[in-house]
Amino acid sequence: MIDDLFVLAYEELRRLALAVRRNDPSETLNPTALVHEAFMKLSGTNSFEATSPLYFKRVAARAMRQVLVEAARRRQAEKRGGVGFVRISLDDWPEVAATSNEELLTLDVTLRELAQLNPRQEQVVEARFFGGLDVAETAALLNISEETVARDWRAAKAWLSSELRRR
Amino acid sequence: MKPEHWERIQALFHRALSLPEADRVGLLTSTDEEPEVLSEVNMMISEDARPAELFNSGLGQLANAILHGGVEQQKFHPYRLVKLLGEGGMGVVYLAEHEETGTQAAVKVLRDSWISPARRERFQREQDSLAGLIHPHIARLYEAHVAPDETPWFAMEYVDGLSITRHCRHHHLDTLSRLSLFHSLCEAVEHAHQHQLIHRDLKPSNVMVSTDGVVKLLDFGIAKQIDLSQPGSIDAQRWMTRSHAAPEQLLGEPTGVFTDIYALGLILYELLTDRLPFDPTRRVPEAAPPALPGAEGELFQICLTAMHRQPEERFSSVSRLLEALHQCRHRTSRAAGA
Repeated sequence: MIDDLFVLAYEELRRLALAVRRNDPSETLNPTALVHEAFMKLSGTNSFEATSPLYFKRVAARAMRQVLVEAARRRQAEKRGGVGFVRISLDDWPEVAATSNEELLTLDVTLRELAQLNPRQEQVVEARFFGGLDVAETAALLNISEETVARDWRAAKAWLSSELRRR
Repeated sequence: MKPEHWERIQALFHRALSLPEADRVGLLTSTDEEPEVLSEVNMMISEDARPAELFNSGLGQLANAILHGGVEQQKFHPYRLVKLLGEGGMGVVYLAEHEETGTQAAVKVLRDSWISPARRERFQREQDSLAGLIHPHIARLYEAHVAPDETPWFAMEYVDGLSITRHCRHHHLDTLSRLSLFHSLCEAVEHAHQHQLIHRDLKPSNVMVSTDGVVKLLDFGIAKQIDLSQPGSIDAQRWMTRSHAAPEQLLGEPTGVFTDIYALGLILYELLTDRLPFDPTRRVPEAAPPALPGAEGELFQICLTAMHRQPEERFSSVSRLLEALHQCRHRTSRAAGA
């Protein structure tokens, strides 16, 4: 079930992320809106009937992280000129994208290190950053107080930022 | 770093932050914490004072750059990709050209095949379904491969044209011409049924009409092998398109040949009226579609039968539907001739 849900969320987020660009290439993705839209779309399907919005958001946050990590990995492999890769120039390849790939992959690795130190804090960051959940939602999801969420978020943010700067 | 270090780092970090800035140095110099802990806390405090660019600008910009920075390609020998035709949650379709013959083809690629075996199976099923179907009104499979990075892809007939409904509107086709296109579609669906395949996602965007006016049925992505020992099957319905789903699909009940019959009825309705009978976002099936303008009464009866709420009340096969259509057309042309 969790795998099903994840795959659905993943596909829907991917689809929505692409749709944003088709409608308006200059528009910046809004993950909170994407996750919300994905939920609205999927909540009517049979597989989702028993799923609470909050639980869905948790799965969606993970799916969002995975969508981005996987995309960044592939972009990097492509940049390194992996076997059999050619590029079709549908878009210019801005340098900023290369930096973003690195940034995201480093964040992913660092987050996994944070999980070793405190699994809950990884979840807080995943929910807040990748799922766009607010403090109250994150608190309800993880069954902790809003104050704890705020403290976790602040400490994790400071630590992750310093790690990202160092690497 | 160890978890207990992390605990101490955080405790000191929060304590320092609770103090006015001027008092923090005092706290940090007077504590007897280990140097590693102290240096970590110092670094975190200075990060905390800076705007955390990554986290404050949110995921949006980062996601934009990563997802939209460019389109990665692999070489799909012997095809050369020309342009992107469409992309969805699961697959990407490119217009491609055969390197030697120059033949155009649609290359369909399963993106992110790693994500689950179920997706790969679904993709494989579509490929297998297509491979078994050779019909003038079904887009043909040319070849199927797996790229070096294990991404499955296949090349199929490229249909340059419009969806059946857009084609009709664009060319201002009359009812008879529309019925003739619908007839071709029915033949394609019947052919699939004869090969024990239910399409289950029949909708205008999957029914193309080429620039020279030939109907081509596409996208067997959720087609299902008819299990002769079972009257219907329930899986994979979540992939359905809500606007064209049959009541049993909306309700998560078993699908069968009757599911395609329903969709054919709906497409016929659309072809006759240029609109959908129901709210496309509906979640619960309606009893019956709203009546057509009087002149098409007999055709409307066919829609009603095909779209009956109860599967067993619908035409039992595509050939039955075609028969009814034929009789109706016969009468109509006789009346027109008289």
